[in-house]
Amino acid sequence: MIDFGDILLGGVLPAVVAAAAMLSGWKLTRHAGVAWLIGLSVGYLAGHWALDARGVGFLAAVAKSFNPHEARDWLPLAVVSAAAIEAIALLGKRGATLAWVLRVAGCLVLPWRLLAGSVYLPSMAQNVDFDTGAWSTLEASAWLGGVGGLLALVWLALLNVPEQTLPRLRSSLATFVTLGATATITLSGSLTIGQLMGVLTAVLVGCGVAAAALRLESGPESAAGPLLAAYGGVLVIARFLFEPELPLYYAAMLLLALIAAVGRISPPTRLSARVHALVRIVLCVAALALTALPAARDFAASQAQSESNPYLNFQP
Amino acid sequence: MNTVLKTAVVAIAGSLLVGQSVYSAETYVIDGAHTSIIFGVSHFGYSLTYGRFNKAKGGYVLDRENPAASQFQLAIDAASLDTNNQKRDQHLKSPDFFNVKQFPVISFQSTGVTVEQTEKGMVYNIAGKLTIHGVTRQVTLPAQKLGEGNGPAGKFRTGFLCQTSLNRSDFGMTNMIPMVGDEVALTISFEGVRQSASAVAP
Repeated sequence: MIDFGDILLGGVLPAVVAAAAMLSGWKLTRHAGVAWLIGLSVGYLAGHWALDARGVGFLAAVAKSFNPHEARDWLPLAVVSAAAIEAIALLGKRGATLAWVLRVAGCLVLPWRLLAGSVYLPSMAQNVDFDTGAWSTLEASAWLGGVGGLLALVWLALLNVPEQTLPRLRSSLATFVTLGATATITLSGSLTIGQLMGVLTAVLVGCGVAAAALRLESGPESAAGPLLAAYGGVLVIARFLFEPELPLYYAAMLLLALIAAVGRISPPTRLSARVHALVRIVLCVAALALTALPAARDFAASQAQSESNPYLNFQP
Repeated sequence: MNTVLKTAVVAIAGSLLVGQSVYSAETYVIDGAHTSIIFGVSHFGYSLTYGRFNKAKGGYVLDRENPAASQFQLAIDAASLDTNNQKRDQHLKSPDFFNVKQFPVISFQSTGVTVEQTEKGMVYNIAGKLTIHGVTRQVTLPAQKLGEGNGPAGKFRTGFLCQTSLNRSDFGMTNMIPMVGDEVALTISFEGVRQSASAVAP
Protein backbone atom coordinates (compact mmCIF):
# COMPACT_ATOMS: atom_id res chain seq x y z
CA MET A 1 0.00 0.00 0.00
CA ILE A 2 1.47 3.31 -1.07
CA ASP A 3 0.42 6.39 0.88
CA PHE A 4 1.05 10.09 0.51
CA GLY A 5 4.20 9.87 2.65
CA ASP A 6 5.70 7.27 0.33
CA ILE A 7 5.07 9.48 -2.70
CA LEU A 8 6.53 12.49 -0.93
CA LEU A 9 9.63 10.76 0.45
CA GLY A 10 10.27 8.30 -2.36
CA GLY A 11 9.07 10.44 -5.27
CA VAL A 12 8.90 14.20 -4.84
CA LEU A 13 11.90 14.52 -2.53
CA PRO A 14 14.43 12.55 -4.60
CA ALA A 15 13.24 14.24 -7.81
CA VAL A 16 13.73 17.71 -6.33
CA VAL A 17 17.04 16.82 -4.70
CA ALA A 18 18.31 15.22 -7.92
CA ALA A 19 17.40 18.30 -9.97
CA ALA A 20 18.97 20.65 -7.43
CA ALA A 21 22.11 18.53 -7.17
CA MET A 22 22.42 18.36 -10.95
CA LEU A 23 22.03 22.11 -11.31
CA SER A 24 24.63 22.63 -8.59
CA GLY A 25 26.96 20.13 -10.22
CA TRP A 26 26.67 21.91 -13.53
CA LYS A 27 27.22 25.30 -11.93
CA LEU A 28 30.34 24.08 -10.15
CA THR A 29 31.97 22.08 -12.95
CA ARG A 30 30.30 23.01 -16.26
CA HIS A 31 30.68 19.30 -17.08
CA ALA A 32 27.50 17.54 -18.19
CA GLY A 33 28.75 14.09 -17.17
CA VAL A 34 29.70 15.23 -13.69
CA ALA A 35 26.35 17.00 -13.33
CA TRP A 36 24.50 13.77 -14.22
CA LEU A 37 26.67 11.76 -11.83
CA ILE A 38 26.04 14.13 -8.94
CA GLY A 39 22.35 14.53 -9.66
CA LEU A 40 21.56 10.84 -9.98
CA SER A 41 23.69 9.70 -7.05
CA VAL A 42 22.66 12.40 -4.59
CA GLY A 43 19.02 12.10 -5.59
CA TYR A 44 19.04 8.34 -5.11
CA LEU A 45 20.70 8.57 -1.71
CA ALA A 46 18.15 11.18 -0.61
CA GLY A 47 15.20 9.02 -1.65
CA HIS A 48 16.59 5.76 -0.29
CA TRP A 49 17.45 7.28 3.08
CA ALA A 50 14.20 9.22 3.30
CA LEU A 51 12.18 6.02 2.88
CA ASP A 52 14.34 4.21 5.42
CA ALA A 53 14.11 7.10 7.89
CA ARG A 54 10.44 6.54 8.66
CA GLY A 55 10.12 5.62 12.30
CA VAL A 56 13.86 5.58 12.97
CA GLY A 57 15.12 9.00 11.85
CA PHE A 58 17.34 10.16 9.03
CA LEU A 59 20.67 9.59 10.78
CA ALA A 60 19.72 6.03 11.65
CA ALA A 61 18.78 5.45 8.01
CA VAL A 62 22.13 6.81 6.85
CA ALA A 63 23.91 4.69 9.46
CA LYS A 64 22.31 1.55 7.99
CA SER A 65 24.28 2.14 4.81
CA PHE A 66 27.50 2.01 6.81
CA ASN A 67 26.41 -1.08 8.71
CA PRO A 68 24.22 -2.94 6.21
CA HIS A 69 21.82 -5.49 7.63
CA GLU A 70 20.12 -6.85 4.52
CA ALA A 71 20.63 -6.70 0.78
CA ARG A 72 18.77 -3.43 0.15
CA ASP A 73 21.01 -1.64 2.66
CA TRP A 74 23.97 -2.18 0.30
CA LEU A 75 22.44 -0.23 -2.59
CA PRO A 76 23.48 3.30 -1.46
CA LEU A 77 27.07 2.11 -1.13
CA ALA A 78 26.83 0.44 -4.54
CA VAL A 79 25.53 3.66 -6.11
CA VAL A 80 28.26 5.80 -4.53
CA SER A 81 30.96 3.30 -5.51
CA ALA A 82 29.72 3.20 -9.09
CA ALA A 83 29.66 7.01 -9.21
CA ALA A 84 33.24 7.06 -7.95
CA ILE A 85 34.25 4.65 -10.71
CA GLU A 86 32.63 6.88 -13.34
CA ALA A 87 34.43 9.86 -11.85
CA ILE A 88 37.73 8.00 -12.15
CA ALA A 89 36.92 7.31 -15.80
CA LEU A 90 36.91 11.06 -16.41
CA LEU A 91 40.57 11.33 -15.33
CA GLY A 92 42.17 10.81 -18.70
CA LYS A 93 43.31 7.63 -20.44
CA ARG A 94 44.76 5.95 -17.35
CA GLY A 95 41.61 6.78 -15.43
CA ALA A 96 39.49 5.25 -18.17
CA THR A 97 41.53 2.03 -18.13
CA LEU A 98 41.43 1.79 -14.35
CA ALA A 99 37.71 2.50 -14.41
CA TRP A 100 37.06 -0.52 -16.63
CA VAL A 101 38.94 -2.79 -14.26
CA LEU A 102 36.89 -1.39 -11.40
CA ARG A 103 33.65 -1.70 -13.37
CA VAL A 104 34.19 -5.41 -13.98
CA ALA A 105 35.24 -5.94 -10.37
CA GLY A 106 32.23 -4.01 -9.14
CA CYS A 107 29.84 -6.03 -11.30
CA LEU A 108 31.26 -9.26 -9.92
CA VAL A 109 31.14 -8.05 -6.33
CA LEU A 110 27.61 -6.63 -6.41
CA PRO A 111 25.60 -9.88 -6.76
CA TRP A 112 27.91 -11.67 -4.35
CA ARG A 113 27.52 -8.89 -1.79
CA LEU A 114 23.73 -8.75 -2.16
CA LEU A 115 23.36 -12.51 -1.75
CA ALA A 116 26.01 -13.06 0.92
CA GLY A 117 24.47 -14.71 3.95
CA SER A 118 21.42 -15.85 2.01
CA VAL A 119 20.23 -19.41 1.56
CA TYR A 120 22.04 -19.58 -1.77
CA LEU A 121 25.55 -19.31 -0.38
CA PRO A 122 25.76 -21.87 2.41
CA SER A 123 29.42 -21.34 3.19
CA MET A 124 28.68 -17.76 4.18
CA ALA A 125 25.21 -18.32 5.57
CA GLN A 126 24.31 -18.92 9.15
CA ASN A 127 24.03 -22.56 10.12
CA VAL A 128 20.88 -23.75 8.48
CA ASP A 129 19.34 -26.97 9.64
CA PHE A 130 16.61 -26.96 7.04
CA ASP A 131 16.79 -27.83 3.39
CA THR A 132 16.90 -24.49 1.64
CA GLY A 133 18.12 -25.55 -1.77
CA ALA A 134 21.54 -23.93 -1.41
CA TRP A 135 23.76 -23.77 -4.46
CA SER A 136 26.75 -26.02 -4.87
CA THR A 137 30.09 -24.25 -5.25
CA LEU A 138 29.86 -24.73 -9.01
CA GLU A 139 26.33 -23.38 -9.18
CA ALA A 140 27.23 -20.41 -6.99
CA SER A 141 30.24 -19.60 -9.16
CA ALA A 142 28.16 -19.88 -12.33
CA TRP A 143 25.30 -17.75 -11.04
CA LEU A 144 27.42 -15.04 -9.46
CA GLY A 145 29.86 -14.94 -12.37
CA GLY A 146 27.03 -14.99 -14.89
CA VAL A 147 25.09 -12.18 -13.25
CA GLY A 148 28.27 -10.16 -12.77
CA GLY A 149 29.31 -10.67 -16.38
CA LEU A 150 25.83 -9.70 -17.59
CA LEU A 151 25.89 -6.50 -15.53
CA ALA A 152 29.32 -5.64 -16.96
CA LEU A 153 27.98 -6.12 -20.50
CA VAL A 154 25.00 -3.89 -19.75
CA TRP A 155 27.37 -1.26 -18.33
CA LEU A 156 29.37 -1.45 -21.55
CA ALA A 157 26.21 -1.09 -23.64
CA LEU A 158 25.06 1.91 -21.59
CA LEU A 159 28.37 3.70 -22.00
CA ASN A 160 28.96 2.84 -25.62
CA VAL A 161 26.34 5.17 -27.01
CA PRO A 162 27.23 7.70 -29.72
CA GLU A 163 27.13 11.22 -28.36
CA GLN A 164 24.51 13.74 -29.40
CA THR A 165 21.96 11.03 -30.06
CA LEU A 166 18.65 12.12 -28.66
CA PRO A 167 19.70 12.69 -25.04
CA ARG A 168 16.32 14.02 -23.99
CA LEU A 169 14.46 11.13 -25.59
CA ARG A 170 16.79 8.62 -23.95
CA SER A 171 16.34 10.36 -20.62
CA SER A 172 12.56 10.17 -21.00
CA LEU A 173 12.71 6.54 -22.06
CA ALA A 174 14.92 5.69 -19.09
CA THR A 175 12.26 7.18 -16.84
CA PHE A 176 9.58 5.19 -18.66
CA VAL A 177 11.56 1.97 -18.30
CA THR A 178 12.24 2.43 -14.59
CA LEU A 179 8.56 3.24 -14.08
CA GLY A 180 7.64 -0.03 -15.78
CA ALA A 181 10.26 -1.83 -13.71
CA THR A 182 8.79 -0.27 -10.56
CA ALA A 183 5.39 -1.70 -11.44
CA THR A 184 6.83 -5.10 -12.31
CA ILE A 185 8.90 -5.37 -9.13
CA THR A 186 6.10 -4.17 -6.88
CA LEU A 187 3.53 -6.49 -8.42
CA SER A 188 5.97 -9.40 -8.33
CA GLY A 189 6.52 -9.55 -4.61
CA SER A 190 7.84 -6.62 -2.63
CA LEU A 191 6.51 -3.14 -2.07
CA THR A 192 9.63 -1.87 -0.33
CA ILE A 193 11.99 -3.06 -3.06
CA GLY A 194 9.61 -1.70 -5.70
CA GLN A 195 9.79 1.64 -3.92
CA LEU A 196 13.55 1.72 -4.47
CA MET A 197 12.97 1.41 -8.21
CA GLY A 198 10.40 4.18 -7.79
CA VAL A 199 13.08 6.36 -6.21
CA LEU A 200 15.25 5.79 -9.27
CA THR A 201 12.32 6.75 -11.50
CA ALA A 202 11.81 9.99 -9.57
CA VAL A 203 15.53 10.75 -9.72
CA LEU A 204 15.52 10.30 -13.50
CA VAL A 205 12.58 12.69 -13.72
CA GLY A 206 14.47 15.30 -11.68
CA CYS A 207 17.69 14.86 -13.63
CA GLY A 208 15.84 14.83 -16.95
CA VAL A 209 14.07 18.10 -16.19
CA ALA A 210 17.31 19.72 -15.01
CA ALA A 211 19.20 18.45 -18.07
CA ALA A 212 16.50 19.81 -20.37
CA ALA A 213 16.55 23.15 -18.59
CA LEU A 214 20.33 23.31 -18.96
CA ARG A 215 20.10 22.05 -22.57
CA LEU A 216 22.75 19.42 -21.85
CA GLU A 217 23.72 17.27 -24.81
CA SER A 218 24.27 14.15 -22.77
CA GLY A 219 21.83 11.71 -21.29
CA PRO A 220 21.69 9.16 -18.47
CA GLU A 221 24.65 7.27 -19.98
CA SER A 222 26.79 9.89 -18.22
CA ALA A 223 25.68 8.31 -14.95
CA ALA A 224 25.64 4.74 -16.26
CA GLY A 225 27.41 3.37 -13.18
CA PRO A 226 25.07 4.59 -10.44
CA LEU A 227 22.09 4.02 -12.73
CA LEU A 228 23.06 0.38 -13.24
CA ALA A 229 23.99 -0.14 -9.58
CA ALA A 230 20.54 0.98 -8.44
CA TYR A 231 18.62 -0.70 -11.29
CA GLY A 232 20.63 -3.91 -11.47
CA GLY A 233 20.86 -4.17 -7.69
CA VAL A 234 17.09 -4.12 -7.35
CA LEU A 235 16.76 -6.72 -10.11
CA VAL A 236 19.25 -9.02 -8.36
CA ILE A 237 17.31 -8.69 -5.09
CA ALA A 238 14.01 -9.33 -6.87
CA ARG A 239 15.34 -12.27 -8.85
CA PHE A 240 16.90 -14.08 -5.90
CA LEU A 241 15.28 -12.86 -2.67
CA PHE A 242 11.63 -12.58 -3.63
CA GLU A 243 9.22 -15.39 -2.82
CA PRO A 244 8.70 -16.58 -5.47
CA GLU A 245 11.68 -15.23 -7.35
CA LEU A 246 11.22 -12.67 -10.12
CA PRO A 247 11.24 -14.80 -13.28
CA LEU A 248 14.60 -14.76 -15.02
CA TYR A 249 12.82 -13.76 -18.21
CA TYR A 250 11.42 -10.61 -16.54
CA ALA A 251 14.84 -9.62 -15.23
CA ALA A 252 16.42 -10.14 -18.65
CA MET A 253 13.71 -8.14 -20.42
CA LEU A 254 14.05 -5.28 -17.94
CA LEU A 255 17.80 -5.16 -18.54
CA LEU A 256 17.20 -5.13 -22.29
CA ALA A 257 14.67 -2.33 -21.85
CA LEU A 258 17.27 -0.23 -20.03
CA ILE A 259 19.77 -0.79 -22.84
CA ALA A 260 17.12 0.08 -25.42
CA ALA A 261 16.32 3.29 -23.57
CA VAL A 262 19.80 4.53 -22.79
CA GLY A 263 22.55 2.53 -24.44
CA ARG A 264 23.72 1.32 -27.82
CA ILE A 265 21.01 -0.61 -29.58
CA SER A 266 22.72 -1.45 -32.87
CA PRO A 267 26.09 -1.43 -34.59
CA PRO A 268 27.06 2.04 -35.82
CA THR A 269 24.68 2.83 -38.64
CA ARG A 270 23.35 5.95 -40.19
CA LEU A 271 19.84 5.75 -38.93
CA SER A 272 17.94 8.96 -39.23
CA ALA A 273 17.09 10.56 -35.90
CA ARG A 274 13.41 9.79 -36.43
CA VAL A 275 13.99 6.09 -37.15
CA HIS A 276 16.49 5.86 -34.31
CA ALA A 277 13.91 7.32 -31.92
CA LEU A 278 11.19 5.02 -33.21
CA VAL A 279 13.36 1.93 -32.77
CA ARG A 280 14.16 2.85 -29.18
CA ILE A 281 10.53 3.58 -28.33
CA VAL A 282 9.26 0.36 -29.88
CA LEU A 283 11.91 -1.73 -28.11
CA CYS A 284 11.19 -0.15 -24.72
CA VAL A 285 7.43 -0.46 -25.05
CA ALA A 286 7.72 -4.07 -26.24
CA ALA A 287 10.07 -5.07 -23.41
CA LEU A 288 7.85 -3.50 -20.78
CA ALA A 289 4.69 -4.92 -22.31
CA LEU A 290 6.27 -8.36 -22.00
CA THR A 291 7.04 -7.88 -18.31
CA ALA A 292 4.78 -5.36 -16.59
CA LEU A 293 1.59 -6.63 -18.20
CA PRO A 294 2.13 -10.31 -17.31
CA ALA A 295 3.18 -9.24 -13.81
CA ALA A 296 -0.04 -7.26 -13.47
CA ARG A 297 -2.08 -10.16 -14.81
CA ASP A 298 -0.43 -12.60 -12.39
CA PHE A 299 -0.98 -10.21 -9.50
CA ALA A 300 -4.64 -9.79 -10.36
CA ALA A 301 -5.05 -13.54 -10.66
CA SER A 302 -3.42 -14.15 -7.30
CA GLN A 303 -5.65 -11.54 -5.67
CA ALA A 304 -8.67 -13.25 -7.07
CA GLN A 305 -7.65 -16.73 -5.98
CA SER A 306 -10.12 -18.26 -3.62
CA GLU A 307 -9.05 -21.82 -3.14
CA SER A 308 -6.99 -21.03 -0.06
CA ASN A 309 -9.97 -19.63 1.79
CA PRO A 310 -11.65 -22.64 3.37
CA TYR A 311 -14.72 -20.63 4.34
CA LEU A 312 -15.52 -19.16 0.95
CA ASN A 313 -17.60 -22.04 -0.36
CA PHE A 314 -19.19 -22.81 2.95
CA GLN A 315 -22.85 -23.80 2.58
CA PRO A 316 -24.77 -23.67 5.86
CA MET B 1 23.00 -34.80 13.22
CA ASN B 2 21.88 -31.25 12.79
CA THR B 3 23.48 -28.20 14.36
CA VAL B 4 20.90 -27.73 17.08
CA LEU B 5 21.29 -31.29 18.28
CA LYS B 6 25.05 -31.08 18.07
CA THR B 7 24.98 -27.94 20.18
CA ALA B 8 22.69 -29.58 22.69
CA VAL B 9 25.02 -32.56 22.95
CA VAL B 10 28.03 -30.32 23.38
CA ALA B 11 26.19 -28.38 26.07
CA ILE B 12 25.44 -31.56 27.93
CA ALA B 13 28.95 -32.83 27.55
CA GLY B 14 30.15 -29.50 28.89
CA SER B 15 27.97 -29.72 31.95
CA LEU B 16 29.24 -33.26 32.55
CA LEU B 17 32.79 -32.00 32.45
CA VAL B 18 32.02 -29.16 34.82
CA GLY B 19 30.65 -31.71 37.18
CA GLN B 20 27.64 -29.87 38.54
CA SER B 21 24.26 -31.54 38.30
CA VAL B 22 25.75 -34.38 36.36
CA TYR B 23 23.12 -36.86 37.36
CA SER B 24 20.07 -34.58 37.40
CA ALA B 25 20.34 -33.12 33.89
CA GLU B 26 18.15 -34.67 31.25
CA THR B 27 18.47 -34.02 27.54
CA TYR B 28 15.41 -33.71 25.35
CA VAL B 29 15.03 -33.44 21.62
CA ILE B 30 12.01 -31.49 20.48
CA ASP B 31 9.36 -33.59 18.80
CA GLY B 32 8.38 -31.63 15.71
CA ALA B 33 5.15 -33.57 15.33
CA HIS B 34 3.96 -32.29 18.70
CA THR B 35 5.28 -28.77 18.50
CA SER B 36 3.20 -25.80 17.42
CA ILE B 37 4.45 -22.28 16.80
CA ILE B 38 1.58 -19.89 16.25
CA PHE B 39 1.54 -16.15 15.85
CA GLY B 40 -1.27 -13.64 15.63
CA VAL B 41 -1.16 -10.07 14.41
CA SER B 42 -3.72 -7.31 14.10
CA HIS B 43 -5.18 -6.53 10.68
CA PHE B 44 -6.14 -2.84 10.70
CA GLY B 45 -7.26 -3.35 14.27
CA TYR B 46 -10.33 -5.18 12.94
CA SER B 47 -9.23 -8.72 13.63
CA LEU B 48 -6.28 -10.92 14.45
CA THR B 49 -4.80 -12.94 11.63
CA TYR B 50 -3.08 -16.11 12.77
CA GLY B 51 -0.29 -18.03 11.18
CA ARG B 52 2.14 -20.73 12.12
CA PHE B 53 5.58 -22.07 11.36
CA ASN B 54 5.43 -25.67 10.28
CA LYS B 55 9.07 -26.70 10.73
CA ALA B 56 11.11 -26.41 13.89
CA LYS B 57 13.97 -28.25 15.50
CA GLY B 58 15.64 -27.98 18.84
CA GLY B 59 16.43 -29.46 22.17
CA TYR B 60 16.61 -28.68 25.81
CA VAL B 61 18.28 -29.77 28.98
CA LEU B 62 16.25 -29.97 32.14
CA ASP B 63 18.12 -29.95 35.39
CA ARG B 64 15.66 -30.94 38.07
CA GLU B 65 18.01 -30.29 41.02
CA ASN B 66 19.27 -27.02 39.69
CA PRO B 67 16.65 -25.63 37.28
CA ALA B 68 18.76 -22.54 36.65
CA ALA B 69 21.21 -24.78 34.80
CA SER B 70 18.55 -25.83 32.31
CA GLN B 71 19.01 -24.84 28.70
CA PHE B 72 16.69 -24.40 25.74
CA GLN B 73 17.35 -24.11 22.03
CA LEU B 74 14.94 -23.73 19.16
CA ALA B 75 15.42 -23.21 15.42
CA ILE B 76 12.46 -22.43 13.19
CA ASP B 77 12.44 -22.65 9.42
CA ALA B 78 11.22 -19.16 8.49
CA ALA B 79 10.18 -20.37 5.06
CA SER B 80 7.70 -22.79 6.64
CA LEU B 81 5.46 -19.82 7.49
CA ASP B 82 1.81 -20.59 6.80
CA THR B 83 -1.19 -18.28 7.17
CA ASN B 84 -3.54 -20.28 4.96
CA ASN B 85 -3.22 -17.77 2.11
CA GLN B 86 -0.52 -18.32 -0.48
CA LYS B 87 -0.23 -14.72 -1.63
CA ARG B 88 0.01 -13.41 1.92
CA ASP B 89 2.57 -16.10 2.78
CA GLN B 90 4.70 -15.04 -0.19
CA HIS B 91 4.50 -11.42 0.88
CA LEU B 92 5.40 -12.27 4.47
CA LYS B 93 8.42 -14.26 3.22
CA SER B 94 9.56 -11.39 0.99
CA PRO B 95 12.03 -8.62 1.90
CA ASP B 96 9.02 -6.59 3.08
CA PHE B 97 8.79 -8.75 6.20
CA PHE B 98 10.77 -11.88 7.15
CA ASN B 99 13.07 -11.86 4.09
CA VAL B 100 13.39 -15.62 4.43
CA LYS B 101 15.89 -16.08 1.60
CA GLN B 102 18.32 -13.87 3.47
CA PHE B 103 17.33 -14.84 7.01
CA PRO B 104 16.15 -18.45 6.75
CA VAL B 105 16.21 -19.32 10.44
CA ILE B 106 14.46 -17.90 13.47
CA SER B 107 16.40 -19.06 16.49
CA PHE B 108 16.31 -18.96 20.24
CA GLN B 109 19.21 -19.78 22.55
CA SER B 110 18.67 -19.57 26.27
CA THR B 111 21.12 -17.73 28.48
CA GLY B 112 19.50 -18.28 31.85
CA VAL B 113 16.51 -19.92 33.44
CA THR B 114 14.56 -19.19 36.59
CA VAL B 115 11.72 -21.32 37.81
CA GLU B 116 8.68 -20.32 39.79
CA GLN B 117 5.75 -22.25 41.13
CA THR B 118 2.47 -20.62 40.13
CA GLU B 119 -1.19 -21.51 40.31
CA LYS B 120 -0.84 -23.02 36.86
CA GLY B 121 2.12 -25.10 37.92
CA MET B 122 5.82 -24.81 37.33
CA VAL B 123 6.84 -21.98 35.01
CA TYR B 124 10.32 -21.75 33.53
CA ASN B 125 11.19 -18.14 32.75
CA ILE B 126 13.68 -18.68 29.97
CA ALA B 127 15.89 -15.69 29.26
CA GLY B 128 17.75 -15.88 26.00
CA LYS B 129 18.67 -14.51 22.64
CA LEU B 130 15.89 -14.53 20.08
CA THR B 131 16.95 -13.90 16.49
CA ILE B 132 14.31 -12.94 13.94
CA HIS B 133 15.01 -11.32 10.56
CA GLY B 134 18.70 -11.37 11.41
CA VAL B 135 18.21 -9.18 14.48
CA THR B 136 19.00 -10.61 17.90
CA ARG B 137 17.22 -9.37 21.01
CA GLN B 138 17.33 -10.51 24.61
CA VAL B 139 13.89 -11.76 25.65
CA THR B 140 12.36 -13.80 28.42
CA LEU B 141 9.90 -16.51 27.45
CA PRO B 142 7.61 -17.85 30.18
CA ALA B 143 7.24 -21.59 29.56
CA GLN B 144 4.67 -23.37 31.64
CA LYS B 145 5.42 -27.03 32.15
CA LEU B 146 2.23 -28.79 31.13
CA GLY B 147 3.06 -32.38 31.86
CA GLU B 148 5.42 -35.29 31.60
CA GLY B 149 5.34 -39.03 31.31
CA ASN B 150 5.89 -41.89 28.93
CA GLY B 151 4.67 -41.57 25.37
CA PRO B 152 3.11 -44.31 23.25
CA ALA B 153 6.53 -45.64 22.32
CA GLY B 154 7.57 -45.75 25.95
CA LYS B 155 9.94 -42.83 25.77
CA PHE B 156 9.74 -40.23 28.50
CA ARG B 157 8.49 -36.82 27.41
CA THR B 158 7.96 -33.39 28.86
CA GLY B 159 5.81 -30.65 27.40
CA PHE B 160 5.69 -26.88 27.74
CA LEU B 161 3.46 -24.02 26.70
CA CYS B 162 4.84 -20.54 26.14
CA GLN B 163 2.54 -17.59 25.48
CA THR B 164 3.98 -14.14 25.08
CA SER B 165 4.06 -11.18 22.74
CA LEU B 166 6.76 -9.15 21.06
CA ASN B 167 7.05 -6.13 18.82
CA ARG B 168 8.15 -6.98 15.30
CA SER B 169 9.67 -3.51 14.94
CA ASP B 170 12.25 -4.53 17.56
CA PHE B 171 13.48 -7.02 14.97
CA GLY B 172 13.67 -4.57 12.10
CA MET B 173 10.33 -5.50 10.56
CA THR B 174 8.67 -2.10 10.35
CA ASN B 175 6.78 -2.41 7.08
CA MET B 176 3.03 -1.69 7.04
CA ILE B 177 2.74 -0.62 10.66
CA PRO B 178 0.05 0.11 11.89
CA MET B 179 -2.14 -1.52 9.21
CA VAL B 180 -0.48 -4.77 10.14
CA GLY B 181 0.09 -4.56 13.87
CA ASP B 182 3.45 -4.13 15.50
CA GLU B 183 2.64 -6.35 18.46
CA VAL B 184 2.69 -10.04 17.62
CA ALA B 185 1.12 -12.61 19.90
CA LEU B 186 3.26 -15.72 20.05
CA THR B 187 2.35 -19.19 21.27
CA ILE B 188 4.86 -22.00 21.34
CA SER B 189 3.80 -25.39 22.55
CA PHE B 190 6.51 -28.00 22.44
CA GLU B 191 7.15 -31.51 23.53
CA GLY B 192 10.56 -33.08 24.00
CA VAL B 193 11.61 -36.71 24.04
CA ARG B 194 14.22 -37.61 26.65
CA GLN B 195 17.42 -39.00 25.25
CA SER B 196 19.21 -41.88 26.87
CA ALA B 197 22.36 -41.01 28.78
CA SER B 198 24.43 -43.06 26.37
CA ALA B 199 23.32 -40.77 23.60
CA VAL B 200 25.09 -37.82 25.15
CA ALA B 201 27.99 -39.21 27.10
CA PRO B 202 30.25 -42.20 26.63
